[in-house]
Amino acid sequence: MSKDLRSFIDQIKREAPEHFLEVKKEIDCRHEIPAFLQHLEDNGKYPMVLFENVKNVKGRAPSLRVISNVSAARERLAIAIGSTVENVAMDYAHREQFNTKEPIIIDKKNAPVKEIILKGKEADLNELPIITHHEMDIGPYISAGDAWTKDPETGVVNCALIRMWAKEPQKLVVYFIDVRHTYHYYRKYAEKNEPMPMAVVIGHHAAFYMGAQTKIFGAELKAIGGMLGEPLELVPSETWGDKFYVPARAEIVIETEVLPNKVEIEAPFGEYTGYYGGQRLSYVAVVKSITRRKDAIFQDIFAGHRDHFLIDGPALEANVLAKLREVAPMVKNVYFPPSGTSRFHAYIQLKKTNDWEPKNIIATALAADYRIKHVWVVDEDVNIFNENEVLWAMATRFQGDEDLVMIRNMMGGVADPSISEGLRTAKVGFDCTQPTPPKSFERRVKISSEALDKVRKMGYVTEDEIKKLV
Amino acid sequence: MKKEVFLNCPKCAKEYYVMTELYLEQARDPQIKLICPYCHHEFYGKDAKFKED
Repeated sequence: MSKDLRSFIDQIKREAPEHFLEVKKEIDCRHEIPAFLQHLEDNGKYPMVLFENVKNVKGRAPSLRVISNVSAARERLAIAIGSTVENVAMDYAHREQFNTKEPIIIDKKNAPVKEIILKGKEADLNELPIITHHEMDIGPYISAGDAWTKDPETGVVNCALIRMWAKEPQKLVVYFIDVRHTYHYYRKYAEKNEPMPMAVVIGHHAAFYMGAQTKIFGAELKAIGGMLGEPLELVPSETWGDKFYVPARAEIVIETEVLPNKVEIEAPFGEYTGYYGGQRLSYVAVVKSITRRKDAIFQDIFAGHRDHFLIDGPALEANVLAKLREVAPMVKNVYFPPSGTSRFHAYIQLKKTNDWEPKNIIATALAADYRIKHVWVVDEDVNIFNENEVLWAMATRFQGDEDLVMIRNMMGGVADPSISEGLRTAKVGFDCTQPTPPKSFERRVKISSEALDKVRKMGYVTEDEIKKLV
Repeated sequence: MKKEVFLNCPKCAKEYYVMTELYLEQARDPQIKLICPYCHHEFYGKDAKFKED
């Protein structure tokens, strides 16, 4: 069976049931769903949650079901592409470079996303349970809408997760910054005073969203196939026919046209940084049609929280890993922790060959993506997925006057609240590695392997008893 | 200049912020209406109390 959101839900329920929660009580999409997710987060829990009984934007229930927090745990992203927590970056990089799959076109009658087709006034955004996430958000936002646009000259499709305010029944106000491909495509249409076709894809397998985030330009559709492990099924759109294809197994597709040279007020909106992006002028997209499954599940990304951080992590890690291995083949792994929004901080694990290598790695990493701001390079004996170990390495192997790299006046991310002027940022790298031989360094403590084996075999305490302890 | 400018909604008096480029744009084009994210009151910048640093 072809993969989609439902097959992923089934897989999680089967293989990792502790990662899934179903809520059957009535709940409002306006503030209450995020409040529930926050309540779980306050208790240190990040399951993906399916809300069965939801009030929509108009306050009517039951509307469509809602699922959120799908990407809030790296374990689930690993399951999505058949990997492990430690190998997500390497497996992602391998698939997007060597294991891509071209999409295939299927018949409309076999496309679940065409079960219901709404046009004109029937294509009403207010019938959807679009979430209002935070107190100061201007209104309900589609946060898991993968925006598909096409270069008018080359036909190359770009996929981007952009924020979209559902302002009116047939109007979205959408924000994309000028460093993104979506903006470059928009400019090409706007210069000819033409609207830009944009399909908003909501609800699909986690591997779909992961592949769509690939940093290899123009490769999104085959990268999605690579992550799914099968070709992405496409079907002609309602508005543009076979000039613009959309995912056949999505839950919902909203077909829109972004008006040329037209902007309206948009935001505030709680961004991936965990802060609100301020009110601004953004682009206007007019809804032409909404197609969906009969019992569609509306997917939301819990904006400003782990679900929002982690979705971009694997693609960024894979991209940076590939670049780092060009300058230092002994880089073992890269991790962008959620504590750094999975964008601003990078932990790099290295089998070091000389004492100057870490600084080359730092310089490469800081330039690899404009959002990367702070980088830690550690030895291979440090587990980069354990922040205590990374910070312990910094505490015991780092000297501020010799091991710090700072580069001023680099380009940063506009959403970074600590940037006070334009995009100007300072980037910093920390070399937290031991010196290479023949220089000596103190040895890390180690429990006797024999004693460890013996204690484990003796069964002083069971695994279940250990799990109950603090 | 900072990236954002704080202001109070002239109707509900709650505080929020606009990006500096919008602050400058509404000063240049007084026809632009801002929207309070709390009460959704639409208002001209001249009616708002901006807190310029």
